[in-house]
Amino acid sequence: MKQLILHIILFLCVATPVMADRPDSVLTEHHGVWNSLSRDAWKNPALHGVAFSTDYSQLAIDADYLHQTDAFVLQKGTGYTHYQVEADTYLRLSERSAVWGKALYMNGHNSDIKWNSVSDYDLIEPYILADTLGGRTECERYVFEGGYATKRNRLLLGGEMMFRAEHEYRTADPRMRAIVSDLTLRVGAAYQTSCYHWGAAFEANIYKQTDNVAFYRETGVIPEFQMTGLGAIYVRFSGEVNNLYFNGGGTQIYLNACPLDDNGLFGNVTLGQHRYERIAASLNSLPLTKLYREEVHMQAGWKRRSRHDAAIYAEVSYAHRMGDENMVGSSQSNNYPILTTLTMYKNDIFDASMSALYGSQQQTDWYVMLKAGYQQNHEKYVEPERKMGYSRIYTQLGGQLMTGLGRQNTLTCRFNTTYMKNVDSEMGIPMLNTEAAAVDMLNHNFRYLKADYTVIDASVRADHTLTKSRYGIFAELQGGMTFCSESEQELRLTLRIGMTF
Amino acid sequence: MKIILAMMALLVGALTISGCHQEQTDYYTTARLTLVVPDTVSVSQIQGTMTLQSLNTTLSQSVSTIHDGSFEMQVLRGAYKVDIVGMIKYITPNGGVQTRHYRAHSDYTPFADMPLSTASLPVIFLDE
Amino acid sequence: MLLTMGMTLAACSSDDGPVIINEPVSVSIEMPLNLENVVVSNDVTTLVDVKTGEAHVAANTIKKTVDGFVVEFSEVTEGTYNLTSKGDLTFTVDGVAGKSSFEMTQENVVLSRQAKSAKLTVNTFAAKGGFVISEIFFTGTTTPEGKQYSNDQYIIITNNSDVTLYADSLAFVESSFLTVNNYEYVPDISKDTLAVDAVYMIPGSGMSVPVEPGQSLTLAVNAINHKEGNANSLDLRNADFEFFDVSSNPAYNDVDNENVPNLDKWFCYTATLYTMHNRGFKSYAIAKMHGTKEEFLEKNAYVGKYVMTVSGNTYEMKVNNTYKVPMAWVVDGVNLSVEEEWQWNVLPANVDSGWTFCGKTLNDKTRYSKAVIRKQDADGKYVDTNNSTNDFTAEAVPSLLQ
Repeated sequence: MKQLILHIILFLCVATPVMADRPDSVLTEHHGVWNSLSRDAWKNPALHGVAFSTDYSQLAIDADYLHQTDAFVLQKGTGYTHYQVEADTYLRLSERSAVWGKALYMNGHNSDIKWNSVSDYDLIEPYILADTLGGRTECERYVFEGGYATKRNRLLLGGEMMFRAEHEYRTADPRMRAIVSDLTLRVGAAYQTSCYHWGAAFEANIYKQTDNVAFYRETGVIPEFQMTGLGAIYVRFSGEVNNLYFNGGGTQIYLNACPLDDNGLFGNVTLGQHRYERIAASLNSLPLTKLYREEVHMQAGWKRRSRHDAAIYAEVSYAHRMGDENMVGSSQSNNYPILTTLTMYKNDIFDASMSALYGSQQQTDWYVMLKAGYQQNHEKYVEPERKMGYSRIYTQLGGQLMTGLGRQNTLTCRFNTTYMKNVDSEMGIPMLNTEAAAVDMLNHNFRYLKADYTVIDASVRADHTLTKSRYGIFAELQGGMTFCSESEQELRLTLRIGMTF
Repeated sequence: MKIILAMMALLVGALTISGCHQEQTDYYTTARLTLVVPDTVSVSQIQGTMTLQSLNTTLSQSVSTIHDGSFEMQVLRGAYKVDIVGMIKYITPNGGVQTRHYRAHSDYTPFADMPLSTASLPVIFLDE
Repeated sequence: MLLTMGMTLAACSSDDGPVIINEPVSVSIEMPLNLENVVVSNDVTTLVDVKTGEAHVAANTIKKTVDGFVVEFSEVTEGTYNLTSKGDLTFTVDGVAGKSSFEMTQENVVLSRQAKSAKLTVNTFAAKGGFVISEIFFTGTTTPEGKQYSNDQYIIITNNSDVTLYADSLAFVESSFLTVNNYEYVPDISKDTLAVDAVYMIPGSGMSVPVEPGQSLTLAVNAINHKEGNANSLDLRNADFEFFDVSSNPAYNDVDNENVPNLDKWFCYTATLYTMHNRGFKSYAIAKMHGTKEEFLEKNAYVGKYVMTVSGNTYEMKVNNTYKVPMAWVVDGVNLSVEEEWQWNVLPANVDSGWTFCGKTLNDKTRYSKAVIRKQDADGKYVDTNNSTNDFTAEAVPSLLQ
């Protein structure tokens, strides 16, 4: 019996390419993995306007599920269940102009969030409000994006706006509520020479988040801690200061060099700076801390499109995060003077990798990708001195296969496997000067920071174009598992169905 | 082409200059706290321990070395609660030698000036 | 610029390991200013690294040097430490031996190659207050027949400090001069010397008689059960010490309770049996005696005179049976008098600027079975403002009279 099943699978693997028709060209243009080489460039709206030659629109309903047997990061919880409706479109208005847009609504919940009473943890940590109890949170997200690009002779111009609103709350004590609004505007330009598009874009972002934590049970009030980095707590304003807001934003510039026909050297540089200020609303809008993030991302490589496509490129990104703490004086009439501001928190994140992509778009579209990289993350708090850091190497092997099954059907298969190996790690915390619960939290997170991971992802998507129609329907199933050397796992499942037009 | 490159360089320069945040690294100052003893007391010797507790983090630091009636300690700039306990040996009006316990306290004392931050507190004698 | 920083960061090797301070770390321990002859024992000094919790412990290694008490630690790595030192002390305070324990902590002490010393000042106890006279029962009682009975007098001395003190060589002394007769004494030694006519000292080798903080010693004129002979009296068999005199008059012999140690009698004006002035015309004190009895008797006799005026006639009188006790030896004292007769305070103002009493008139018949008792604070400490007018409750019920 086993032998029979094995034979069937082998037959399918071999016969499918043989039986296959050409996959839908619109789908290969919009969903092909070759596009990953241009994702950085398309952040420039002017270049996004020449990304595709065909129209594509999609309306989808998603169900996403993630579960970890033990939270890898306590502040992110053990998983989530999200339901999402998403519509996005790319339309060529003419040879010169294109317009694109996206609308998304997500509703769901996050499980077992601890030590985190805010949203967008990755963005504003470590300056968050936290408590030891936590729990499940409900969440909603709205996203609206839209952009337009046009070409005048050799000059390409484009503009884009992205708006995200999030609402996250808890229905049991401690009842956190976070409301986020995040607006980004981008303008870009590019100049076309004989072989290249030379682009530059500018982005401005305005970010705001309001947070508060309420307790309905009078006897069950626990302190909310103002975290300041690596377990350090701003004790003076912890306990009952439960109303915060974050004001922030920043700017980013993009520089691009893209070969016109996808053949040749390419490069993209992104430089950005953002800042997020934590303000205690109930203390006469006293600014407590300010987080600065300065980052650079560079991608450079070479690509060639012909009978067989190949690309090799390097990516380097570096983010330097700094946190300023305000040393606050004695209040007079609810006015708090700021004695001095000190940069107490520092975080350096570095990632460098080399990737190679190889494939073909002949009968079927197939690509194989290999990536190897090095990642390093160091955090430091000045006084009393605390530090935490790790470095790891990783390798990734992936592939994509797009094939037609008959004239009206396209099958897209993807797989990806990554192995991350910890090379070095360190943690130094003044345990005697840190809340015992915070020490446990740090030890827990560090255990997973320095672990090794094996990640496996696979997805299958089937598209069916309705007869004599520009409409189609599709279904996609994605699954993945992460195996941690600490004997814990993560399971990811996504089911998506929708229509294309 | 040259214009494009020049524009790119200008953009990078502008972002670098306006974007980069200057780290505030003047972390420490020398906190000098002077005990104020009444003029009527002719001090022969003072000993004591000063404890500074950060109002931000509640961490404490102490020093027991006293020079000319002042304690000095290097601290992180900020606001502190100050507690001093100790003993004073003094000459009485009739020439005798007396020792007395004293304390000094402040709920809030800022030590933010650089490189030296000074404050003074009156001593409170604890017993007859 | 950012990218250069990033690459530099990536290229850097991981942080240096812990740095050991080459020379020993020295912790000096400063003792309270009012203590002398300090000896430290059973000491344990600990440095606990706040990051790792690792502890360096030094036990019984505090050394006395020219600069004070010092303990050293070797092989200490740079870092931040919580420093704790505890142990036992013996010392003398105001001449009186005492002992106490100490425990001091300093948090977040930074130790490095540049800062390899720390200092602790002991202030966990004040060692102030010392011994005080907490009660004097000098009136005696009366018998059921109405006769006065003075053998049941006693004085209570209490350790009013927060350390254990030793009562060895502490003497009960009675003033030679009366508070009701302010004669002009020549030479006038009253400023810094107390003229006494009785010195009875608690014997000991220096640390034989420990008295815990708040505890008392009862010195009884006779440590017997006086109730057997006088129903109105009290039982003093549990006294800590008693006055014992070898009387020159065989008709009046002292009773010696063998279970109660006798005070060491240095001098008494009477050749028979000592009792306190039961009308309360004298001042009483406790003093720390120095030297031997023989040296004291040889060197401290008070040779002097005074002028007495009676019925308009003046008489020059010699001072007899009187010895000098330096005021510096006096630990505590109480002036006693009566309102009708008081003329002066025998003790100087810095010992007692007031006076207290049982009885208001010269021969107040209501004075018996009353004592003067020092008042106590809410925390149980005896009030000692060196003013017995304020510090004592006059005409109180004796605490041992039930």
